[in-house]
Amino acid sequence: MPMREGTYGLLAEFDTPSQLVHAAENAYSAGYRRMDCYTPYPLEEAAAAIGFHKDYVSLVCLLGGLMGVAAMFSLETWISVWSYPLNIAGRPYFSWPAFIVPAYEWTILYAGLSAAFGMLALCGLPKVYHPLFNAPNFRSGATSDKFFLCLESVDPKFDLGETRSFLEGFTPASIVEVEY
Amino acid sequence: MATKGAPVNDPMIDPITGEYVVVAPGHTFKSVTETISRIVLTPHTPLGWYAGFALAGGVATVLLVAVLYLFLTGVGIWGITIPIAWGFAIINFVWWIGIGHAGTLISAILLLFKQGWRNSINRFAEAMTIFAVVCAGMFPLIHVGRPWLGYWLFPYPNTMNVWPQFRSPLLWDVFAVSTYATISVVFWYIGMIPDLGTLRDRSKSKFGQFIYGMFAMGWRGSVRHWVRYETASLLLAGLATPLVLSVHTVISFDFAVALLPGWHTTIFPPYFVAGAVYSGFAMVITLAVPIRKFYHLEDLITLRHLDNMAKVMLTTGLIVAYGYAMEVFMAYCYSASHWEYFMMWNRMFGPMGWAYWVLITCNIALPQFMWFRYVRTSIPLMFLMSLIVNTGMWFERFVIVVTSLYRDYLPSSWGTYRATTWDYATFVGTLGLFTFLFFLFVRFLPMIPMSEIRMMLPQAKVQPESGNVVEAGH
Amino acid sequence: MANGHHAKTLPAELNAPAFVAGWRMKALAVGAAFSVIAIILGFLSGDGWNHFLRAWLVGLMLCFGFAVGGMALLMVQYLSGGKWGLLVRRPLEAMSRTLPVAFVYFLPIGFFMKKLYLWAQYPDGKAAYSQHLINAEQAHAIIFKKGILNPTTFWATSIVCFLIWAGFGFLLNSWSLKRDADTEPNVPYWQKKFENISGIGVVTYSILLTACAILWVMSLDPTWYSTVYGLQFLVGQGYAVLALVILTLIGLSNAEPIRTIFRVTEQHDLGKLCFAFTMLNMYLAFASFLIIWSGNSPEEIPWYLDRIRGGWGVIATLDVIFHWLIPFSLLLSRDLKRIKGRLVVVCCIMLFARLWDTFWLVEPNFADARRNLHFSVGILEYIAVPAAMIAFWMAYYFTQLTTRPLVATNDPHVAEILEPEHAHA
Repeated sequence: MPMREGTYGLLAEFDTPSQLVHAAENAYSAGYRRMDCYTPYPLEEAAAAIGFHKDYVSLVCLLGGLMGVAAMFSLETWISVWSYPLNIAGRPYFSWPAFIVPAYEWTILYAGLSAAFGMLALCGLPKVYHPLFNAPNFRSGATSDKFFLCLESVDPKFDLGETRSFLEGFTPASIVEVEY
Repeated sequence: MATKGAPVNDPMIDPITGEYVVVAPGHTFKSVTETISRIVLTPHTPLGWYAGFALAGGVATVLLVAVLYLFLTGVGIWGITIPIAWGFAIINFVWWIGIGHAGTLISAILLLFKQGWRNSINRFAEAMTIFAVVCAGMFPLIHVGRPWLGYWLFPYPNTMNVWPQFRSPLLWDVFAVSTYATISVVFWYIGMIPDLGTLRDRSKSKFGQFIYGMFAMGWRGSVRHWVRYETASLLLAGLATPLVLSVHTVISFDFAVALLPGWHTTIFPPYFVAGAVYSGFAMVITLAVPIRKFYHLEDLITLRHLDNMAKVMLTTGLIVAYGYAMEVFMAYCYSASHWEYFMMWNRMFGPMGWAYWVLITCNIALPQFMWFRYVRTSIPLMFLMSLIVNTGMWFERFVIVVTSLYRDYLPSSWGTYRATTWDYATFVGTLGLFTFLFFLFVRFLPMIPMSEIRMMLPQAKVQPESGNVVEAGH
Repeated sequence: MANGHHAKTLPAELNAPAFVAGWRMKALAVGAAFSVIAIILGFLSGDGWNHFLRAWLVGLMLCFGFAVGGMALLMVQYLSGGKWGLLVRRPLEAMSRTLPVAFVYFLPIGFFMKKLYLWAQYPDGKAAYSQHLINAEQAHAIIFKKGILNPTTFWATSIVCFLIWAGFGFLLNSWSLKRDADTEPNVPYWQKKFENISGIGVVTYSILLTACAILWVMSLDPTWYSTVYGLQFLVGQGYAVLALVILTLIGLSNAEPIRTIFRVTEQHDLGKLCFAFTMLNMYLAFASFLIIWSGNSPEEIPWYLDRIRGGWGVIATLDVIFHWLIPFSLLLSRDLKRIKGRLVVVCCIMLFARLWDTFWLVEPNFADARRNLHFSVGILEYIAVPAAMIAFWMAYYFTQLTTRPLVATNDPHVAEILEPEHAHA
């Protein structure tokens, strides 16, 4: 990917979650869509304010779990019935009650790994470089005690001057222009 | 005991509910971040840490020597014999893995039940899980005799054309424990990503920024990421809960599936799980009390935590007591089986009967003092209680393994069991290894999840009149 | 968006809405209809009212489960805390006050125990064996367990259990009203008081319930025993009580005051609890099955074979499907737990599963039915008798619901439950 240049977006910094949610709600209703909030802890109201409701992590997890149970149960069946049948204390080759246990463990293994790595993949992580890290106040605050709203330049409604004055209406602690 | 209308002056007590608070009042987002990340990022490692680290490392060396000698010589150096082929190795395995379970439960079940008080202790409880599983997993591996062939346990295509036998609970164990170890590590790591981001942003050293930055994977606190992250955490918690149950259940199957009086009984799965949680919570207290003191975390690990953990211990201890009672009742009064009757008599009054009474004293009798709030909120008494329970739970596994095996159906095959120095050395060595790993953890990783503590502060809530409220404490 | 941040207020009228009286009338009508059917079937079946009594035992176990299990869950919510506890408190109190009905239902079992229990029918195991009325294993068990399995112990234990439960029920119910009449600063005092009684109460409940489960149901087959049996009943009661309390709340949420305080968050939490009990129930059942199946010992495995062979496998499979597969698959969905209409369906299936399971536990104990599932007029009693008993029990339960306000007010959770909800739970 070629290096992109120019402005990534305008980053407004707030001291309280309430101010952030207020600003985000207004930005959304003013027609901005390409934006994101950054908070030091999960803030559901902010996600709702920018119109993000549904994530697909549960679906990935469910598919992983189904894969796990199918994989282990068929492996056990194939080994015990066809590939390497053994008579163990007269139990049937197809000892389904015994097979349930490892199949259950693999359901959880696959589902858990799918949830964890699925979440990371959906978030686009790992991503060690991101333009926002160029903003000094972002680095010192976003993962500690400050609340940020970033309106991104790719949004058709974005205009450096207008957007800046729009954000100033919410009395942020600062507004920083972030470069790519 | 309850009294009406007593005025509440203690700032650590919530005036509405009369409970101890989970986080001391007056904290801000910044002070929480400071308090926790300081421990990791400080350039001045406390001398006490070095001392403890060296001591733990020394004890862990004992394990190294014991295992080395074992590999050179064979399992004959242990006290295992026929009929007791499962000696200390399995006792310690079950004991350690049981300790691990509380960590997962604190993270998982309490997260599902929205118990906010878990947030301060879940990280190091999870760490405890992982280190306990490391110690536990070693025992079956070194017990197999030829540990370098341990990979035969897994089903993989091979030139010998043989496959594992899936009707054996010992194979179920392989899947249960390996899944448990994997999921615990993943759950722990995923939970740590936001805090690693904080450390990356606050670290002063280039090296710290690089290492924490790599492990934080570029976490930047986007609310979209947070939503997915929360879902993934809840899902992992939802998966870890039945996983914990299944792991100790599978371990109980190791015993219960065999047709041996004292082992073959249907109460084993739930009562093993309860016992695991019981000893695990005891270990959390054993660890939390000194850490809280040493790192001055009294604001974040409060008497409320101690009180609640004591209640969980009391509950699980009573479930364990129920298990013992059912075993005794069925064997003595209801089984109509002489083998069962003899097993129970022998367990209580046979040559090794003392172990049974140690177990009853430590696991059932003494913990009843936790009915008193005074005991539950007294730090020295709870520390003592946690040691008692851990001893009791070790003896429980001893009683189950040894007293069931050494006198089974056929008197001509009876024997006895005596552990050797190497048995003790291996066990003590794992205690050292566990502590050693724990020292590394508290020094280099955030032991209390910062993002979750921030979430619990009163100012974390969005106020109704958006934007107009100026937050106190800035 | 912004209006979602405002708190609600508690309605002035907290008593049960008028339509609860209508529910009661319907329950009474259903009860009467099924009673008539049950009596007609009793005469038609021509088995000396044997099936009637067996079905009565099934009905007893279910209604008794609601009464005593409701009280147990009431105590558990005092101990665990949580906002869902406030919501379910009054319905559970109403359930715990139905203990007299359970006791009345118990009496016929006590009076006619000779028709149900082998050990009551043949108190002298040796003589019965020599006359070939019972086999050697049964004779051995009856003789060995004489100290526990005899009419005196049966009556004494049952009555002591009912008395102790009545004592706990009385205290829990009367204190709850006193607490509401008291002032707010005394909440910590009441919380301690309730925690103390509940702690002791839950322990007592577990012991007594185990005794009842062993005496009333497990001893139908005197030769067999399982150490987890009492615990399985305990979890089964929690399973049924949760389903019933959710149904009650959703039914009541059509009107005030429950409409205001029953938020989706707490509904979701209760749904999760149902899910947990679904798992726990299956876990205990499967674990004990796997242990006995793997052991394959002639002392134990016949109990399962009686309930699998001769057509019973169908009932057992359906039991797993009703009890676990359907509720489990449905409750996995987050949306389902949050939509009232769908959660109702799951709860109904769960209650039906309890009936199905108890039938599977009880009927194969008897020589005419074990390893031989067949149709007879008598077997229809398993529908008619429990239906009538549950319907009458419900009528009494609805009466109890109307006797006090549906919301316990003197509790800090009241303010929390009136707060607006988070979007993402």
